Amino acid sequence: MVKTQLFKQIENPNNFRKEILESSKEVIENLKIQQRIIDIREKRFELSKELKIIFKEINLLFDQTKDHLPVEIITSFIEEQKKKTKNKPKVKTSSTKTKKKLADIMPEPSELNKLETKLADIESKLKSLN
Amino acid sequence: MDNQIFVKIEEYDQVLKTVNLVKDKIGKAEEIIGKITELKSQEEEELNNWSANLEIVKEKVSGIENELAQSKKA
Repeated sequence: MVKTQLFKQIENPNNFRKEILESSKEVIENLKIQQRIIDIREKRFELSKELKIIFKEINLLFDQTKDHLPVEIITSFIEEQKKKTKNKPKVKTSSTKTKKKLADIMPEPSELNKLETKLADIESKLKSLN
Repeated sequence: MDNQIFVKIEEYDQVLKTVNLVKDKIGKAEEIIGKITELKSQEEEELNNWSANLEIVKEKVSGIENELAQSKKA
C-alpha cells in the first residue's frame, strides 16, 4: 500500500526564509548583548573588590591615627567601660557545656557581623566622648 | 577645658600625613565609584537593547506564524 503524503505550500518562501534569517540574526545579537552584560558585571565585580580594599586601607589609616593619640584617653575610656559593666546587674550565664554546644551550632561570624560589631564599638566610644 | 590633649609634634606630623593619605584613598574610591556608576548605566542600556531586540524577535515570530497560516495545502 502506498502511503499518501501531504504537503503545505508556502506562499512566499523567500519572505519566509528572510523572516527566519532575520530572527536568527536578532537572537545572535541578543547573545552578544548577554556577553557584553557578563563582561560589564565582571568589571563591576573587580572594581567593587578594589573599592573594598581601599575602604579597608582607609580604616587601617584611621586606626593608625587613633594610635597617635595619647594613651591616657584610651585607658580612661576602658576604665569608664569597666565601671559601666560593673554597675549592670549580673545575668546568669549558661554552663560551659551549653556554651560549647552553642559554639558548635553557631556559624563563624560573617564579614557583615564583624562590621556590625565594629560599628557598635565605635558608637559606644562616641557616646562616651559626648 | 578638661578635654584638652597634647600630641607630640612628630606624632602630629604623622597624623597629618595619614590624613593626607586618607584623602588620596578617598579620591581613588570616588574614581572607582564613578566607574562603577558608568558601568551600571552601560548595563542598563544593554538591558534596554535586550528587551528591544526581544520585541523584534517576537514580531518576526508572529510574521513567520502568519506566513505559515497563509500557506495552502497542496
